Amino acid sequence: MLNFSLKELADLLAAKKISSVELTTEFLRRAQALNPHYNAFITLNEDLSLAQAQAADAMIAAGRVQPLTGIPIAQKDIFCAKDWRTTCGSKMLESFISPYDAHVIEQFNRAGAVNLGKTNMDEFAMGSSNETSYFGTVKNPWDNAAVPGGSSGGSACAVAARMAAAATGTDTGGSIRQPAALCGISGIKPTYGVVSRYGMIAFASSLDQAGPMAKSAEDCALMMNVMAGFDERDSTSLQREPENYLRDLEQPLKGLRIGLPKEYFAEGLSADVARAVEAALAEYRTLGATTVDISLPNTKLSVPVYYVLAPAEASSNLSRFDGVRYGHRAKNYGDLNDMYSKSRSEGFGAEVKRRILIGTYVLSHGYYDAYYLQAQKIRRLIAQDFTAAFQKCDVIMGPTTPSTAFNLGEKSGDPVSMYLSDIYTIAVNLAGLPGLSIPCGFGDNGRPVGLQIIGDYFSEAKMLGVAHQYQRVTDWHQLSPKVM
Amino acid sequence: MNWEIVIGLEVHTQLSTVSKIFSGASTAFGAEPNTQACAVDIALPGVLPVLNKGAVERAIRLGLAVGGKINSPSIFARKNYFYPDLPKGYQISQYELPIVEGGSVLILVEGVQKTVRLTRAHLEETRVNRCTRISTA
Repeated sequence: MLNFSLKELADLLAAKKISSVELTTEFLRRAQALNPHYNAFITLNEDLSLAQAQAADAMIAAGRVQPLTGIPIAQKDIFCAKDWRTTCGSKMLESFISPYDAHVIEQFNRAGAVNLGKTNMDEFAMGSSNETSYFGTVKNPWDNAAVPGGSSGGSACAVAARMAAAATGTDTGGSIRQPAALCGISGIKPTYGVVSRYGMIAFASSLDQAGPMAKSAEDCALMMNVMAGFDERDSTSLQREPENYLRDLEQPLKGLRIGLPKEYFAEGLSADVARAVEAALAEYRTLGATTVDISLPNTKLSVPVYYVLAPAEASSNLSRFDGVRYGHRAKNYGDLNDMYSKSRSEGFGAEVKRRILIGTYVLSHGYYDAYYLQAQKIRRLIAQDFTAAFQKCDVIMGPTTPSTAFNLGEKSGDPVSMYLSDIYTIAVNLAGLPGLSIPCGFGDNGRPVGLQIIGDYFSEAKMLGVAHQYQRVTDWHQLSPKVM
Repeated sequence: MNWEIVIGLEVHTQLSTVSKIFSGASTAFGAEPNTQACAVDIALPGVLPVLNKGAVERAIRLGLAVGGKINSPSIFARKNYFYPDLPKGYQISQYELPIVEGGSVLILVEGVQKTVRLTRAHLEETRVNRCTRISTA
């Protein structure tokens, strides 16, 4: 049952062949057994989860069943959830119990889904390996020496190791797609504005976007139907007609034009990743798609631009963590400035401090024009690259990451090398486009490879269909690692 | 030596809206402490500001009354500094493209009509409250 799709689980629940309490208990037992080893969850709270499962069973008994009613979903610990500890992977919020629900949490609650637990993540979503979490590293279930990716590493690990039926993630520069790729699962970052950011702890507000992480594209589509939608509490939430993200799943691919950016198949791409991606492209050609060479000439600028803009926004967003009203406050301090200084010095980890310092610097008087404004202009150029590309193709494909999962500790001492592992994902956030990653094979070291699919604005349903058609004829997404 | 006296005034005015400029919490005077502070006001993790339409309408009315230019688009900006009564660690204010630019107010001083030129009027929050601000020069 742990391998069942969301649809299969929903059918079992609706037919009353299993109760939500039974299903939730089964996932909880597995999560409790595996978590000491994998560290995918920061918080498990059996009482809260089972109370929701009982409520779901009552909904089912009353005939009020929605597609995810009674299904246990792991929530990234960046989403505020009422009565749940919400840490964002930081010592700063180690004991913060949220008094309110994020919009995404509300949506799952309305759907009758069960919150299975809060997943581990890089501190304030700043990282690509989950190694910056205050609550310890997460192991990649395919190879325990490897990182799971980040920042949504706990969610990726939980789904890959079948500790949760599905999970949520957030993606500021690749934080859904990169861990999905490294852990062999499916994940989609929607168009900016499709999922409300209300209650999602802000890292870089103009880039942050929540999305599903699950075993398949079909599961992601079911999750999108719950997560997407207008929310007046987020001024960047888009007021659009509700979509059914399942609608294009069975669309045949004949005539689909796939753009292959030459910059994504250039120096820096590992041979084994290239091989797996080429094989997936061959499969797509068999399914009736054609491939066309395209260029995204400003790709190489995306990492430097991101590391000006994201820290700039973060430095301001994280200033509310000052030890005054909630969160960590130093035990001993002198005056007010000393209290701020000590509380923040103790509460934040090294990567968060590095980015606050970079961000404060690039926004400071005299440097704003040289760094921040220039970066904003290049951001526009990067978005224009994609607009031009979509004149020639319907979707863009390439590797999600330049290599398979790296080893724990391999890049944690070298920030630039770590930052470059997001070279294929960051431009998508800068342009506000949707991006998806699905498993497409394994590298020489037996670690998963992800295929990235980038679509035009609001083409999530089409992209999920393109991914689903591949998953109909391949079984990479059904493979799960042997755990423990 | 002849000196000319030039005086600039910065005037803060609280608007008559029933809720705050970036949250739905009430602005009623005289309520019990902490009964009108919502999650947005105290800057809980994850909350977001939503601009009060009524505040914008009042600022535009002021702009039209003084013959100023109504900027569209108009931009809000964060003024970052740490202070215990500044929950977010920044004040949402306006810098470039304030809602109103220019305009003037005519006054009578001992029977003589004088023109006070306005530089700008912008919207901003103050503490967990709100006001418009008019700088004149």
